[in-house]
Order: sequence, then structure tokens, then C-alpha cells
Amino acid sequence: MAQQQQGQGQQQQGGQQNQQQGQMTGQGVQFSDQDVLQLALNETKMMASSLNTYILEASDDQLRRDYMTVLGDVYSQQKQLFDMMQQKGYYNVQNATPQAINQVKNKFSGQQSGQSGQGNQSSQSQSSQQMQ
Amino acid sequence: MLTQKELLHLEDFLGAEQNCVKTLNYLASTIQDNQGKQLFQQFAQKNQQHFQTVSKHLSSGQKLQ
Repeated sequence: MAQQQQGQGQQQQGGQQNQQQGQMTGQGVQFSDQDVLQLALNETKMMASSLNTYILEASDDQLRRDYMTVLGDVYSQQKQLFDMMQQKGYYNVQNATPQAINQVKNKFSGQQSGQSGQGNQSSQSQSSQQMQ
Repeated sequence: MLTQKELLHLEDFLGAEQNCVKTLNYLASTIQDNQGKQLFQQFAQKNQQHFQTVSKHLSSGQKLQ
């Protein structure tokens, strides 16, 4: 989310400074393609969130299934929007640093050794290294 | 038969879906990019289908009562 706002900030810096006042009050607002895609992306996320609740609280089987089908389509729409935004450079995600990954790995490494033998533990850390 | 909660959710969902179709059509007319325009039009159509699929539950809920 923070990264996404940074990306938008960079775009606006290149744009018009004098429009800023208008943007705050909603006057003379111009939507860029990036804004439009972001709006649609937000909409799909809201919809998915609501549908999750409807599914969890439906007692009618068919209604539940229909909501699940709809949610599947919403996921697909969200993915298509995200892919398009990323492809156009509107949505840059930042990879986790190896250090940060290691930190989390260390946090849970005690738990793994507690549950499984030593042999298992070494194979676990090997697969984590491959993922990096 | 629909539960009270299901009916409230149906009302919310159908309202949101209706609004979504409207929004998508508007966004399709606003966006400059052709690929995006096509995508929005396609989504609007799909969401209209969702509306119809789910709205059927309103009438089936009535029949059972």
C-alpha cells in the first residue's frame, strides 16, 4: 500500500502543481488512466471483501455457491487489473530483502526444530535458501 | 427460504453490483487506454451477469414462503 502511494506521488510530481488545490476540494479533478485503474482495483477489493462475508454467513447452499462463483470472477478481475497496472508501471511492488526474510526465518526456526528432527531441519533451511 | 441476514446481504450485494456496472461503464468511457477500455466493458458485462444470477434468489426465496 505504501509503495503504491509512493508511485502515485512520483506521477503527481511530474504533473501540474496548480491543480493540487483543485484536487483537494474536488474541483477540476482530472482522472488519469492510473487513477481510473486504481479506482477499479479498489472496487474489486471492496467487492471481494463483502462477498467473503456473504459466503461465510449464507445458510442457503445454492446462494453460497453462487456467491463463491462471483468471488472467483472478482478475484480474476482484480488480478487482470493488477497485472495491467504493473505492466504499465502504475503499481510497483518492493521485494523483501534477504535480511528481512532471514529475520522471519529465524523467528520460526526454533519451532521447526522442536517439532521435527535435525535432518528435517537442515532440509528445511535448504529449501528456504532456494526460494531466496 | 432466505434468512433475514441473507436478505440484507442480497440487498447490499445487488445494490453494490448495480453501482459497479454503472461505475465500470463510466470508467470505460473515461479511460484513454484501449486495452483498459475493453477490460472495463468486459467486466461490466460479467458483473451484470452476476447481478442476474444472484437476483434469482430473491424470487426463489419468495416461492418457498
